[in-house]
Amino acid sequence: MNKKGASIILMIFEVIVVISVIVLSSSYAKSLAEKDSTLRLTEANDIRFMVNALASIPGDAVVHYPENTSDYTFVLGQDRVAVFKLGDSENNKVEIKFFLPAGYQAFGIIEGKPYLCLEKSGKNINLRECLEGEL
Amino acid sequence: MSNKAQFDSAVKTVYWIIAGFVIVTVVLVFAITLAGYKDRLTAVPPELKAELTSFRFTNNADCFALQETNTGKTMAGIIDLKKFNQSVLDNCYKTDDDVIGIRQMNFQLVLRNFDRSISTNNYKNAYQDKLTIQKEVLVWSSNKMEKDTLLIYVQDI
Repeated sequence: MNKKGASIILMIFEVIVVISVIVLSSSYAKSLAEKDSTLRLTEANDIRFMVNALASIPGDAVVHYPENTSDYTFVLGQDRVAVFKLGDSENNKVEIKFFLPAGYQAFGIIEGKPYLCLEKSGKNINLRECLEGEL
Repeated sequence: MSNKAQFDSAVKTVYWIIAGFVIVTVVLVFAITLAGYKDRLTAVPPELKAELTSFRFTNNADCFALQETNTGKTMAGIIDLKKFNQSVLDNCYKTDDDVIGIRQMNFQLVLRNFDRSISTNNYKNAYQDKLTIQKEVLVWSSNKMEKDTLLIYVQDI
């Protein structure tokens, strides 16, 4: 092979490798910087803590989550809370588990609503959109 | 191929072995650093997690909190000694009977003066305790109220 030609091919190869590394690293950093996955995890954790706190109080109560939740869908189940965006793959779905006392029921789905409330009524904990007077 | 060409080829091979190793290392270190940063951003202090989960032991009548028989009123912070047993604890807080349950938060509850102790279903040996919460409580026993300390040993793998 022509020595000059080989050297040019090697140089192009080097440039492609370096550009690939930069693009990969930047896209990973960008995904973290957008805080999307971080926000989901934080919000799922918060809901879990709110459910635990509600299961600990003797009476009924309504708690308003003090963040805008319109970007996500929240699903509260009997033993877990899931936070995701519609159309997300399973990998992007954040799910956090909790354990309620026997006889307690947790349920509710809220999708793209800005104000999220958790209501404890008897042994039921309901995730729903906040009403006018609750904000 | 001349000696010079062979030498150049060998130099380039060595160069690319070293360059490949350096590039992979840089990418890995970068990814691990960012992943660690994300974990730190979303980390929750274990004390907060344990406090919020263990509130129920002293405040919920379905756990150990005293409930007045006449009015049905729950006396938060007062433990009914009759309820302080394994069966009530299993109804109050029970993790899954599998690996997930072992990896969740588990507790051992000790009433210091009454020398009573109960544990959640996946509580393991005491050396795995992560932290201890102390709560000053009143205990309703034999129709009288006594002061005591509730020690909550927390395991969270």
